[in-house]
Amino acid sequence: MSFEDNKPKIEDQQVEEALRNFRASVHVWSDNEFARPRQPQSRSQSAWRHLLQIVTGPVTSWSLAALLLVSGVTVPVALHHQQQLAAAQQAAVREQQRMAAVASEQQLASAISDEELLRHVDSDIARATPDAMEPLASMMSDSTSK
Amino acid sequence: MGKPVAAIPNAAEFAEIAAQYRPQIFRFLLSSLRDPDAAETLTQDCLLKAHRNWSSFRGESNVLTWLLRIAINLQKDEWRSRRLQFWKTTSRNAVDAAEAGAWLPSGESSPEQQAVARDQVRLVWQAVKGLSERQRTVFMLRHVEEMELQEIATAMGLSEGTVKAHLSRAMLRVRAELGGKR
Repeated sequence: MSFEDNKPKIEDQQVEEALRNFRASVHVWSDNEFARPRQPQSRSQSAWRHLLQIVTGPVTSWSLAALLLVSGVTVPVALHHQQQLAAAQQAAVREQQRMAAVASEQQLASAISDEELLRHVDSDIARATPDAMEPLASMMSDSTSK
Repeated sequence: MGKPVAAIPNAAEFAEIAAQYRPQIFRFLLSSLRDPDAAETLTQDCLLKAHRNWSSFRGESNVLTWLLRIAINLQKDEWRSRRLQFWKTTSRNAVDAAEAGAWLPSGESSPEQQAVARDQVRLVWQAVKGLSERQRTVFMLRHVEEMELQEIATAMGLSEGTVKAHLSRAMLRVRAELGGKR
């Protein structure tokens, strides 16, 4: 029998040996685990475990993930929107204040010009001789002095 | 005429049945899930389900095959729920292949033989990790529980041909893993 003829047989033997060892290993492991005393869980422990099972359950975990995803997108958008609204409101208030300041400045300016105009009129009226009568007035004063 | 329904056992009889088959159900679930706590829980669930649904056991197969069918469905649900979990690796007590492969019978073999055997077991576990759910179940029932193909087919609700095909693919993977080592 040649080496080639032996080759698959040897492989089969090795596979069989590996499977035999695998079976024996699983049996020993299982017997050990089966015999291992398991402490009964306390009521609070089992409640926590139950809660953990609910949280880690597929439906809850997917729901939580969806909630996180939605809140992860919507919260920053809402915050950005709110910031924009606040900025717009502040800008509007500032614009209003600026307009009010301009209006008051204008009012003040117009009040000053009114006062000046009145003063001018007063000075005009307060003059002894109007401009047109000035030469005559001077002539009269000259004659009286003579 | 309908098939005869197996006589419903009383509490004492069922306790006897449970005590008889419990280690084997636990072993199958442990090898499928590699998680002792989950295997223990599912073994209890399996026996509870069997007790509740005993009336549906028609005696077409033996009791162990029927119990393993329940266990297979339970472990299928368990895998499905694990697949959907984000933190499946951290939330469970699953043992890794190297740790599971560390168990060997305390025979009279030399330390070298023990080391070779440990390596072989580790490689088989490595191959099992890459199998599909059905391939893994067929492989475990055939090579750990040493069930006949017909019994496996009945337990899994598949045809014998399908079982053969799954087993053949599983064995290809195991051979490749063992061959790659050499």
